[in-house]
Amino acid sequence: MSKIAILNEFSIEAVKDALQKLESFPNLKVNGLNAYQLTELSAIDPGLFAGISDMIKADRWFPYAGAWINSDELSEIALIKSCLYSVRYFLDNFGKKYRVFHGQKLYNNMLPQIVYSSLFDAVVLDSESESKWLHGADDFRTLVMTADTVDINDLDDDSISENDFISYEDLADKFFDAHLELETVFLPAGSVKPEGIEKTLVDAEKFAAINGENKTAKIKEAWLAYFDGDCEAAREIADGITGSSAPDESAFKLSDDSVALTEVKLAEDGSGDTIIRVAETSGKEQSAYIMCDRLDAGFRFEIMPYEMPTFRIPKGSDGYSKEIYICE
Amino acid sequence: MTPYILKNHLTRKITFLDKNDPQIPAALFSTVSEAPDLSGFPYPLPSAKNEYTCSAEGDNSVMWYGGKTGITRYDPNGESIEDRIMYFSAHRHLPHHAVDAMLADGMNLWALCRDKVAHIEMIMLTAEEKAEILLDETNKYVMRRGMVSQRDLKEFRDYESRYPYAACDNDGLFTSGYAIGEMYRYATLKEKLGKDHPRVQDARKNATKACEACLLLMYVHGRPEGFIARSYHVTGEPIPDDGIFYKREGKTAHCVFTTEAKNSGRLGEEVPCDYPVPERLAALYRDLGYTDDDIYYKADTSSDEVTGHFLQMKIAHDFLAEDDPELDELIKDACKRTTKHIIDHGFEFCESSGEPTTWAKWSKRYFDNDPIGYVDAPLNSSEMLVYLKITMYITGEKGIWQETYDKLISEGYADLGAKHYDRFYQGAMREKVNPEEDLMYGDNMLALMTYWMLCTLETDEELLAKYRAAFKSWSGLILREHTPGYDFMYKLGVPDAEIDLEKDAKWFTHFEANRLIASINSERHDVAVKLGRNYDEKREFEISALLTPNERHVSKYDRNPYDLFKGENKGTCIESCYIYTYAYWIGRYYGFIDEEGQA
Repeated sequence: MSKIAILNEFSIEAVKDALQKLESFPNLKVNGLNAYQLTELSAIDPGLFAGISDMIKADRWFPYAGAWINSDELSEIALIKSCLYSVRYFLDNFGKKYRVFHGQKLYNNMLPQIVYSSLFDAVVLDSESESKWLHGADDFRTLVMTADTVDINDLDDDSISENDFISYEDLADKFFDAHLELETVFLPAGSVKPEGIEKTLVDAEKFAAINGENKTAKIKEAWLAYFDGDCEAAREIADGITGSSAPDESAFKLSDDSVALTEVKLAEDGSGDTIIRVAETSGKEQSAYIMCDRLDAGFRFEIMPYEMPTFRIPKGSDGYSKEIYICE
Repeated sequence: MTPYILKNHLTRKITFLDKNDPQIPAALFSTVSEAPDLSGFPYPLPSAKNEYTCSAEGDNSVMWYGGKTGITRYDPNGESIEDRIMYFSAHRHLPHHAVDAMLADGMNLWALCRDKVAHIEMIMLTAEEKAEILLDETNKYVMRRGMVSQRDLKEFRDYESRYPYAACDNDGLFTSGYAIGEMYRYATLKEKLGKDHPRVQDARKNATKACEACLLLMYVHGRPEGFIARSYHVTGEPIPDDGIFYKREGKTAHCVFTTEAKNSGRLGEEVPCDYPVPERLAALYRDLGYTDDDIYYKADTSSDEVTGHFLQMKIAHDFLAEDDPELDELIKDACKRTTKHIIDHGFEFCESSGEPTTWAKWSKRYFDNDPIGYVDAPLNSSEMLVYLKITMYITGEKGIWQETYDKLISEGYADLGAKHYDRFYQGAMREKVNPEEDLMYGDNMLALMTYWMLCTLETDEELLAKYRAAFKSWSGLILREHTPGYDFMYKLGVPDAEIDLEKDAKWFTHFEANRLIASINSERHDVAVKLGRNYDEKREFEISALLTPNERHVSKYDRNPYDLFKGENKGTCIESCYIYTYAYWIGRYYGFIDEEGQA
């Protein structure tokens, strides 16, 4: 029987203990640490971080990808941004793309769409104790996986030697290969409605992108400050970009009022391409189009009830627009 | 139900001429081309604005914009965006991608493209007129010995250069589709015009011939047990390399050389062929001078064929049997022999060796022990049930058919159907691709045929609820296509379902009045391209907007209509009409649609 070893406690001692066990037992795999914790670790103990990094690259340590920070206080828009920065963190620093999302809850029933659109295939949720399919009203779905776990810090040498250890990534492969007899839970419709400081951050990103200013690094800094609980710092960065002005959304014209422009930003890769996200809000499938004269772009798309597709508009008018994923 | 009234609509008629053709107005060559000012243009444009190099104004304020990547027709008064913005591209509508000059001529346009000129005529047609034009084209250029699939051309766009033969992997399925369309045409027109009207007689003749062609595939092999050939060829026709073919000689047939036969170790294999081909069916080749010994039939038959044949037999029994008892007896015999074969071989379709064919397995053995069988199980289990239901319906017998049906129900076959989306989605995740990318699009039609009939024939409320739940598990990927042939069958099986008849109507009105397979440019600035889920590959796999049929690739009911088609084809093949006639006549018969002035 395969076991899943996880790191429950985030402390230098606990991480050190886990790393030592990994170095001693080549059959061992450990799951734990999200992007936030890894950035903290790199600041506090660079040597230990380097050891963990090597294990991540060698597919011995499997971090908790998905949310930048594992908090049950994240809203739906915060989850989207959290997924974006987390996925890019693991891609940029380790060349890794993971298929299992680790999180806490259903995020106003938007979880299946947000994790699917962030290229995750399965989820491990603190709120769920049974494996199941979750099927959203937007027709997106994801697989909830549950498994018995053991704390890596509680394992002694004998129990490590005697057992086979797998990662959550391995577990997802096993689930998708198995003959599953799982319940499918159909969720009611959800939505993403930024409010307060979160709306300020979304507007700041829109403002910069519509004006052609590359502020992606600053915006990321603001969101990470917000995830860290420092709302004041986040707002200060946002205000520094907008001067408290609202973004001029008239630059984008949508064919129907029930399709809303939810996000405008520049691509994370610094290419200058514009990323837009729209949302269907009426619960009806639509054939829609968007026009953006400033970018000399306009294209048609089908949008399903409550869907939030993401598009990438090329910087030059010669390129083609693409429907992409949140991690772009 | 109140039918959706289809209005007359503009249809494209395209002719390519040599530059020196005297029909071309001289003014085209003296036209001064100037890049149009498209700043502030209110709709997405198929080409980049800087690619437009010329323009022309036609009647009713219609503007034509030409350039490096085709022609855009802009009608500010068009009812929908598809009417306001029309796109014409090489090689279906233009001889070359680049347009050098244009001259409007009323509703029509002359376009100079290097050494050729395209004459684009916009003609008004009703959907029914289009159905007749397409049918005539198929009957004249595509049909061979009653079979309807497609026909290759030796010269681009030249129908008269068609090869005298054709090859198809799924003649049984596609000819069934054509036959069903003609049966519904016959039934619709008979009700409207009376059975002696020439159009009704013509429809009956077509339907009967297509039905006979399908039934012939169930006998042409001469195997004593029920079997269905995928297709057959006659002496003198080239045998395709991608399949298993048997040549009949007396009472034995032997497997002839193909790469697949050699690789599978079946080359030279002998199978019996002493079961007589009914004279009425054999006439399809004997009247052309061929004998049974001229037959090369294709084996390794799939569930696609079997499902198409069963639906075809059911509809033929409904519409043709009453006035043709001989045909009905052939249907009953073919139906019983096939179903008996499947039951006798443990719910698998088997070759004479006893080995199952690659893709016709409805057994628990397949469902439980094969990763593909696990995903196929929901549909295949339902297919088996519908074969039994249709057999009972056609023959009026219960006996072994009912016993087998009850046995399979007790083994959970009726419960498997609703697991379709769970397993299909799981399979896509296993392959790490988008579900839309993992779908075998031909399965949509098989599911529709299967569940339409199960929901029609089943009277037990509990089982009916299970079949409708199974049907609904296919709805996402079926209904996103807005293909009327699909939507009508779905609505007939699930009466409380919502289908978008306006979009279905658009499918008919924006369908070409020919089935020439020539490529279009699907790399358009007015649609986005969707990336696949495999992050490392960044593969582009479909487009984000559902283009109308006249602006997307030509296919049967087995391709993704959102497909990002990147191939170049200058017009090398004629596809059959059945995708249109099947949808149109089912729609008319059941009152989903009607023509203006006829309701």
